[in-house]
Amino acid sequence: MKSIVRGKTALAAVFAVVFFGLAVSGPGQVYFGISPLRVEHEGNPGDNITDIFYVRNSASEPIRLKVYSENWRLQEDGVPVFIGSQPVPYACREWIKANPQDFRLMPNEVKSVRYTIAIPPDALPAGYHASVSFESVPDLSPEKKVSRMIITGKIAAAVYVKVGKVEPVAQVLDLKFSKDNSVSCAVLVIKNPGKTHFRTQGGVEIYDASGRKKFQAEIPNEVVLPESQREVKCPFQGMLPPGAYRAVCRLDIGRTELLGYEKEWLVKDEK
Amino acid sequence: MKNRLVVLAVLVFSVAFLGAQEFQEMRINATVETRCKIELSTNVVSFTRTGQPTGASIPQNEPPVAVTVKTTTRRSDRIYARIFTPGDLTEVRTGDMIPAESISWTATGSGFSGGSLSKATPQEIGNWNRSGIYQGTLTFSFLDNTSYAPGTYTLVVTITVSGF
Repeated sequence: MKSIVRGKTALAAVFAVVFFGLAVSGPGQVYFGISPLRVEHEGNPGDNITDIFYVRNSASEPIRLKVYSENWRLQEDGVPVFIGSQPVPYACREWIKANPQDFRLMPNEVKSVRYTIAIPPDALPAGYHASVSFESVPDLSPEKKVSRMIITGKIAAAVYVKVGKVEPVAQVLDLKFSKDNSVSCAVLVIKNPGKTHFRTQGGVEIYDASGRKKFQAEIPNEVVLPESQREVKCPFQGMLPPGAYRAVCRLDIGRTELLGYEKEWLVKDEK
Repeated sequence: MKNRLVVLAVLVFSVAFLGAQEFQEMRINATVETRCKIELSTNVVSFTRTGQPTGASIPQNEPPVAVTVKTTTRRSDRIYARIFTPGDLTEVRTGDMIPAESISWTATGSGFSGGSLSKATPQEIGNWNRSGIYQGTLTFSFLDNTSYAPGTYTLVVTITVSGF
C-alpha cells in the first residue's frame, strides 16, 4: 500500500515537472522571464496608452522583483547603454508608469504588470523610446564574514512610441567590408536625420569583377534612433579572396521605396 | 440479387451521408509574442583573501555561475547580455573601497565572453541574433592588492538582458 502511495506521489511529481515545466532551482537562484520583450505603440499628443507585460517566476523559491522605466541610448555600434533618468533626445521614460512596481512572485506564478504611457499634450510628432525594466531584488542581509559580490538579474523591455505621423528618413553613408573574428561582414553606415526611429531590413549583394554574384548578406533587424548614426554589420558566409568587388545594398526602412547604395571594394592580400 | 441490393443501399446511404456533411473553414490566428528569460544559478559569489601578494588572482569560492538566456524574438533581432555595477566594492563599517575593476571573469558557452567589471560602461557577457536557448558559465576572480584594507566588502552587480 505504502509503495503504491509512493508511486503515485512520484508520478504526480513527474507530471508536475512535465506539465508546469518546473525548473530545478534552489535558494539564491534567479529564474524569471517576461513577455513581450519589445513593444511599439502609436498615439497622439494627450493620449493614454495602456498595455500589459507578463512576468513569470520559474524558480522553486519566491523572488522579489522591482519594475521601473528608464532611458537608454545606443552607441554607434548598436550597443545599448542604460542611463536611468538621465534625459536624452527622444526619450520618454517620464511618460511611462508601471504597476505594480515592487512585488514578490511565488514559484511558477505569472503576474501581469500594467503600464500606461501618458503622451504629453505638447509632445511633438516624433518617435520616442525608453524601457520598462524588471530587476530581481537581492537579500542584502549580512552573512558570514566574507567579501561577496551580489548578482541581480534584469530584463529590459524596449518601449517605442510614435507620436503623430512622421515618415522615417535615412541616408546610407557608407558600405564597408570588414572581417571580424574571421567572419566577413558588409558594414552599413546609416544616418537617421529624421525625427523618428526606424528598423533596418533588406540585403547586400557582393559581385566579383566579372559581375557574377559571389555572396549575399541579410541586413539584420536593427533600430536606428532619430538624429543618430549607426553601423549595422551584415555577416555573410565565405571568404573574399583578394580582388575587386562591387557591393550593392537595398535597404528597407519601412517606406514605400527601398534605399539603394553601391560601393567598390578592393580586398587586399592580408600577408 | 439480395447482395446487390444491400451494396446499392449502402452506396445510396453513403452518398446521402456525405451530401449532408457541412464543411466549414476554421481559421486559427496564433500570436506568438516575443519573450525572454534569464536564469542565474546563484545570486552571490564570494572571495576569500588569504594574504596573497599583490597581483594574486583569487577565484570565487563557489562553482561557476551558470547563466541561461532563453529568447523568442523576431527574425534577426539581437539580444544583449551585459554586466554592470555603478560603484566599487565597499566595506560597510569603515567605508573603505576597492575598485570594481579588480573583478574579472572568464566565460564558457556559445556567444559568451569574458572581461572585467567597469563602473563607467556596462561590459558585454554575450550577444545573440536569433531565438534560442543560450547556456554558459561565468567564473569570477578578484585581483588582490596588499594596499587594500582588510575587511568584508560587498558589491552589487546587475546582469541585464535586453532586446531592441
